[in-house]
Amino acid sequence: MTLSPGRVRLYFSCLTVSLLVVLVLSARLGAMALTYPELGGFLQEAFGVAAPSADPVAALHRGVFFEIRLPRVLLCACVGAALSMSGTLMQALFRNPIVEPGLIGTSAGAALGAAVIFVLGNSLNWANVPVLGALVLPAAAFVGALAATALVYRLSAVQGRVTVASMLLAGIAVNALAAGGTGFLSYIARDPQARSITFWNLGSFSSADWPSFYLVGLVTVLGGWAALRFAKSLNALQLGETEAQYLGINVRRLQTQVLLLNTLLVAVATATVGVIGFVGLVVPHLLRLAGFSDNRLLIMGAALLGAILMIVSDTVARTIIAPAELPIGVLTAFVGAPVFLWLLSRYQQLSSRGGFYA
Amino acid sequence: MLEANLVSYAIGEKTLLHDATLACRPGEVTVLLGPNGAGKTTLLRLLAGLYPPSTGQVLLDGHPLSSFNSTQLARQRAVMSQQIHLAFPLSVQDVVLMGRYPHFQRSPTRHDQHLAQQALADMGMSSFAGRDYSTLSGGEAQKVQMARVLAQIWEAPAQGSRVLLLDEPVSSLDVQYQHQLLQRARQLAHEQAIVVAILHDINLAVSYADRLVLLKNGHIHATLPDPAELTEPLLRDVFAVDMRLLINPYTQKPVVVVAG
Repeated sequence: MTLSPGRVRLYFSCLTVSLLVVLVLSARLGAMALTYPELGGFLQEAFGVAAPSADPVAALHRGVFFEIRLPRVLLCACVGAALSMSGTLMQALFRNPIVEPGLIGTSAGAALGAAVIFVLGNSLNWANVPVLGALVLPAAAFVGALAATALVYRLSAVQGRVTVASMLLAGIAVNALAAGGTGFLSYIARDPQARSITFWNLGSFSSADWPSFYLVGLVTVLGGWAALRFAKSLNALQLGETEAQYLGINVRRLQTQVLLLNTLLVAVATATVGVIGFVGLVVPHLLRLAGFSDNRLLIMGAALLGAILMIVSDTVARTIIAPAELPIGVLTAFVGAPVFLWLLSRYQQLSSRGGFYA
Repeated sequence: MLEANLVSYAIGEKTLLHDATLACRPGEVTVLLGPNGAGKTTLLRLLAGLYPPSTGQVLLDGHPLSSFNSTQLARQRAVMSQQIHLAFPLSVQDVVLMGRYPHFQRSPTRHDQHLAQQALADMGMSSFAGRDYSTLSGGEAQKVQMARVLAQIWEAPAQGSRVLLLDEPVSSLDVQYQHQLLQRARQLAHEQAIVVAILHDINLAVSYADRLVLLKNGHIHATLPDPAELTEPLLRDVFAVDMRLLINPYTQKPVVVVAG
C-alpha cells in the first residue's frame, strides 16, 4: 500500500532516468534521423566547447535539431507534465479516479475559446500586437476552459459530493455545447481557419517552437510548484469535505484555487498544442497501480511519467507514417479510451458494493 | 468550556435546531440522546464550527468559534463523523496520520508519525497499519477513525481546552470495543478535555455520561447534570416508547428496558 521511502526513491530514479533516455531518443528520431555523435557535437557547440562545423549537411542537421527537434521534445515534456498534473489535481478535487480534463469539459472549453480567436482573431487589431497577440490565444482558452469546468463542477456536485454519473452526464452536455460552438465557428470560418481548427482539435506538436516552449514551460513549472503546495490539503480532502474542514482546511478556497490552477495548466497546454485527451486520466492511474497514494508523490510522479509518455507518443506520432504525421490526440485516444472504459467498468463494480461516491 | 447560546440552525424554510443552549465543561463527557431527526448531529456540527449557526453563538473558552483561525481550531478540536468513505486506496497509517495535518506544514515530523502510531496502538489497531483502509470492516474503520481524531488532539495545546466530538462512534463496534472506545473518551475527559458524544444506546449513554442532553424535534428537551436523574416519563416523552428504569445490581446504575 504505502510505498516505503526506498521504493519511492527507486521509482523516482527510474522515472528520471527514463525521462532523460526518451528525451535523447526522441531528439534523435524523426523524418531526419540524427546520430549520437551529432547530438554530442550539438551539445558541445551549445555549451561553447566546440566550434560549429561549416559542413552544409551538418548545418542543416543543426538547424533541424535546434529549431525543430529540441523545442518540440521539450514542449512535449512540459505539456505531458502539465496535463498529467492537471488530471491528478482534478481526480483529487473531485474525489474521483475517472476524472480527466477531456471528460469534464476543460479541454473542450479551451478549444472553443481558442477557436473564437482563430476565426475572429484577424478582425481584432490588438491580436496582432506581438506580445499581446501571443497571449490572446492562451487567455481565450483559459476563459473557455474555466467556464466549462466550473459549469460541470456546479452541475455534478450534489451537496458537495460529485457522483460519477452526474459528472459524466454534465461533462457530456458541456462537451457537446463547446463542440457545437467550435463546430459553428469552423462552419463560418474561411477554409484555412477551419482546417487549423480541425487539426488543432486532434492535437499536434508540429508547430512547436521556442516561444511556445517558454510559455508552457513557465506555466508548468510554476503550476507544479503551486500544485505541491495543495498536496497536503488534497490528501485531507480524500476523507470528505466535512472531515477536511475539521482538519482546518478551508475547502471552498481550496476548490477555487485548485480549479483555477488546473484550468491554467490545461488552457495553456491546449492553446499551444491543441486537444490531447486521456493523458491526464491514464498517468495518475498508472502511478496508483504502482502504489502511489500521497498527492505530493502523485503530482511529482505524474509530471515525470506524463512527460515521458507524451514524448513517446509524439515520437510515435511523427515516425509511424513518416514523413507525414499522425495527430497525437488520435494516438492518445486510441490508447487512453480503452483504459478509461476499463476503469469505468471497474468502478461500476465497486459502485454495486456502495463505493460509487467516494 | 464549550457553550451554545440560543443556537438555531435552518436550511431554507426548515429549522433543524431551535434555540439550543448548552454548556459542555472540561473534564465531563456530555452525551446527546434522542430519536432520529432530533437535531443531534446538527447540534454537534454547530459545536464543531462546521457551519455558523443561523442565530445564536457557539463559544469555546469564552470566544466565539468564528473568531478562531481554522488551523488553530483544528489543533485543539477533533471530530469523528459517522461514516467515511475514501475515494482512493489509502493505508490505515496514512489515514491516522491525517489527524496530525493541522500540526505540520509540508511533511510530518518524526514526532507526528510517532503520535499517529501511538494513537493506532491505543485503539489496538497497530497490526492494521499497512492495510488498505477501504478493506476494513465497519467496526475496524471506526477504530481507525477514532485513532485519527485522538492523534489530532493527542497533546494538550499551550492554551485553551481540547475538544473531542463524537457522532455515533460505536455504531458498528462489538460490545467489547464499544466500551474500549468510550473508556478512552472518558480518559480524555479526565485529562480535562471537553467530550461530547452522540450515542444511540441509552444504556451506554447512562454509563458513560456525566451530563445527558435529551433532544426531540430540534429542541433540547432536557439537560440532566447527572444521568441518575433520568426518569421514565422523560424517556417516554423523548422516544415515544414505553421504557422502564431498573437498577443494575452490579453497577448500581440505571438500566433502561422496553416494557412490552
